[in-house]
Amino acid sequence: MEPNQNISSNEIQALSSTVAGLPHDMPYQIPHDYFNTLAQRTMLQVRLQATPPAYEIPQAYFEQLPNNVLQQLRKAAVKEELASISPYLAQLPNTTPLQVPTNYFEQLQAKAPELNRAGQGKLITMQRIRTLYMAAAAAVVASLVTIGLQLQPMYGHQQTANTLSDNEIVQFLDAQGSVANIAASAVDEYSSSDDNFFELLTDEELEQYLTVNGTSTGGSKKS
Amino acid sequence: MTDKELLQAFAQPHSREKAFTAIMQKYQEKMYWHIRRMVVNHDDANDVLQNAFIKAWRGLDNFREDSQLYTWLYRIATNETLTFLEREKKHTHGQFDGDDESLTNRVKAQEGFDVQRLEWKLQLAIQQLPEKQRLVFNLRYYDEMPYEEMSRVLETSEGALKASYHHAVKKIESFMLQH
Repeated sequence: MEPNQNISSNEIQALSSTVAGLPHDMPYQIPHDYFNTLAQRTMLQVRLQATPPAYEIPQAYFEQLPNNVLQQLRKAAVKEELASISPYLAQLPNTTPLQVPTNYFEQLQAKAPELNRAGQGKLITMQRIRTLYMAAAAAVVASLVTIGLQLQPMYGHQQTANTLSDNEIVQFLDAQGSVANIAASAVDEYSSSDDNFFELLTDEELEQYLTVNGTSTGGSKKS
Repeated sequence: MTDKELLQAFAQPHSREKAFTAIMQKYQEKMYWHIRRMVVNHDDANDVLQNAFIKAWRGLDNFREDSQLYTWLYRIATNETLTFLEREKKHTHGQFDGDDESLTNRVKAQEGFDVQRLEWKLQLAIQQLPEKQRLVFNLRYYDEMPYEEMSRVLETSEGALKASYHHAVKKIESFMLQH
């Protein structure tokens, strides 16, 4: 018995004769030939982990990938649509055969600042045009609302009037005063508005108007 | 070949792989059983063992020979085992403590398990021990490792290891007598 085993055996005997008497064999089973191939399998792992990746990928490849794929899908969808409408056209190349002068776009970009400074082809930004359109639309809406509000009382009264009985109308009018008074006030209103109207007319037009209406002011305007 | 010769061969690029293969073949069984006694399942033991050898391959250039080669390999295997058990604990929410039934169930699930046989009952008893105590018991009882060497493997004082081993033996004795 080796020295270590002797010491160990005596030690455990001293601690527990029960435990000292137990079998030392491990009851676990292992696969057949496990240890014969373990070293080779482990070295394979070592080599695999030491090997750098075989393939390289372009920079930012994965960042651009979704966009590239979407573009391809869109192209394919357009192609399929054309093929369903006209298989003949779908076969044709979709390149434009027209020629462009050499360096045209580079020169155009270089010219753009000069054009702006000269005022030719002055740039009116879409934002400004949009603002003008919005202002015009707002003015139209405001006018319509104003007109609507002006008309609303008349319309409302008319609606109300249509639903009232004759007795109710007479009672309302009595409450407001006599019919004559109302007519007189209506005439006054009309007259005052007429005054404004008359101020806009020339003398000849006024004379003609008076002749048609059967009254005469002697050709003078009321102030 | 001696450990020294193997290490010299490992230092040479043309014989590096051959030397390491020889090292593996020399210590693989000891390391395997050291791991398997702790993790119980063969597949888990295989994973831990290969990880340990791969770590050894990477670190062997820095091995200072201030301890025996197999002590150094044992230390790597022990650390890999404890890392594995810690990871399993997190996955199974602490069921890998020595007190729990999970390791016991693993023993019972082993092929050929027979609770009537003493060697199986001993395995059940060992799995009741806390992790570190289990390690100490296994290294002393099965590998008959000297306490001086064990203190280098487990980085614990010899006195603590002796005390731990004594407690472990008493617990196992109690288990064996009760069951």
